[in-house]
Amino acid sequence: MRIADGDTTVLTKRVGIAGVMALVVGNAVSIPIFVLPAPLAGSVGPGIVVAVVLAAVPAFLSVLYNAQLGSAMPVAGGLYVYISRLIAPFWGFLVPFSLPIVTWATLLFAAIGFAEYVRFFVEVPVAPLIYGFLTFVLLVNLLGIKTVARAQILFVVMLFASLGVFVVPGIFAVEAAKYTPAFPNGLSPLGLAVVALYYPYLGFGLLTELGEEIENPGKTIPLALISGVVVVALVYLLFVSVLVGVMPWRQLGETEAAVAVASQQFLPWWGSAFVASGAFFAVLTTVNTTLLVSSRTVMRAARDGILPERLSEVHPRFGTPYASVLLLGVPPFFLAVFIRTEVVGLSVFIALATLTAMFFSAIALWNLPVEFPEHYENATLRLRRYRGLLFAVVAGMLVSAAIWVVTLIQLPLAGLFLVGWFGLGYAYYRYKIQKAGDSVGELYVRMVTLDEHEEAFAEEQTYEDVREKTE
Amino acid sequence: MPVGRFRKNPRELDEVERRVFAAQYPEGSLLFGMGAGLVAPMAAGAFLELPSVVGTLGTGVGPLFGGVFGYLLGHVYRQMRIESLREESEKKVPENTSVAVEKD
Repeated sequence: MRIADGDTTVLTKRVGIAGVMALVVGNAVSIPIFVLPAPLAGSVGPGIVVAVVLAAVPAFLSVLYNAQLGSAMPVAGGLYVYISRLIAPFWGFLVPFSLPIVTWATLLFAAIGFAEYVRFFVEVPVAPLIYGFLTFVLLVNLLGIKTVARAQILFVVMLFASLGVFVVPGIFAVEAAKYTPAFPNGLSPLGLAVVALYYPYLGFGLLTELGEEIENPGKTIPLALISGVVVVALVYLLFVSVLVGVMPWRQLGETEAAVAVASQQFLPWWGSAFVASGAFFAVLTTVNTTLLVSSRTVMRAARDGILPERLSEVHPRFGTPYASVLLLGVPPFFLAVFIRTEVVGLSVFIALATLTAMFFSAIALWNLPVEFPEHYENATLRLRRYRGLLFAVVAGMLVSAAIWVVTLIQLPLAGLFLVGWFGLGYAYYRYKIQKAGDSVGELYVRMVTLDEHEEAFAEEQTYEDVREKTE
Repeated sequence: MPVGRFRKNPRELDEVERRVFAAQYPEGSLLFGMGAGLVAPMAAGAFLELPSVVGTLGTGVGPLFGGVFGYLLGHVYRQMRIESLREESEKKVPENTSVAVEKD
């Protein structure tokens, strides 16, 4: 499959490094930065700052193997492609099969959070806010990745401005005495805090889903991921250090909207209001990317034929996989009533599903040099197999498996639901295999090999060169 | 899971291998093994008076053992399935050949 003008099966619109950085950083600096640190400080104490540093370590590892995979084989729906091609097609299929639930729940949580947050400032009915929010996200995504990236840059600038208004003057208001004792309740609450603070970093995998739509992806993906994780870790560290340094840890644990309250100690009322508005942009930056990323994965699986092929159609004018965007963006309008009551269970389901995918992508990375040696050899970022790569794989597997088990022990029913969902996925997968009839062999080969333009990337290193060669 | 020759180049697989590999038996049975490994300690905890630590550990390691056992079972079944389908296709070929000879 070579890329040609007017091709409606391949994505041809691309974003540059600024848009990519905004997508990845905006997704990771999400609403938890405003809501998590205060209650965690209440249980851990001022030592929560240490938890922020520790959470960045596994985050960096997951970034490392995503950077390697994304640099060697930048494709649409990366997670699905890597796992199906480098491990087994069924495990890869589980990614797009699970994404609708994950996306619907994420969109709804965000819409509900957004509505409740707006009502904190202005008294307006909830329903129009939820539906207005969902409509906005759907429309932006239907208009294409460039529109999403432009909106994302604007939201990220506003988000960072609000964080800057909190952090920069806040540094001068910090009192050293507030950092002691660091761990008043001992070290036991520290582990849970590290896990909780690690979750926002899970979004770093999103970039590997957009490989087909990134300019010069072999270089841009590792650059954006590695610099992105450093930026995000620094933002979290500075933000939490100031928060704990300006307000006693015990008080933080007992205060609602603690960030806004803490900022009142050193900012005028309008400054605090601006800081509080950052949460609004944090919601937007996260949700803006969720629908974008998920739709590419569903589209890529549909290209193979394991999902209905209609879902792989690309809009001739906007260059978006509009059928996948609609599949993922429309149902939340009708599901609000059901999903609102299951926030905790669904959050754990999302976390477990993401950790499962991370575990598999670590194994996939190990198989990369053997299965696709040309892609690996030509990659801009290339970790040596028995050094950096082995380290990234083992560490990535251990971290995701350990957090998986800890989460499972806490909420085994969510784990059972996840396994049940995967079982349903197996039933659907077998149905599609049966339905393929005599062409089952072709379907299988499509699911374990790359499309022609993806294969050609190993030699050309950019999709633009693949295109020029065709013309 | 890499399995010998087929992972090197999937296009080299014969039709029988493609059909059987496409069914993903080891992966499916790994999943059901995990489910059983998760349900067993939960059920045991609910119906038997076990120390809570046993239930907790069981929930943590049960899916792992169940998954490994399920995978091995599925792997064996896949080999059996390939062999039985090969035998079937080998039986069919001589029959067709003899019919063709008779017609000639």
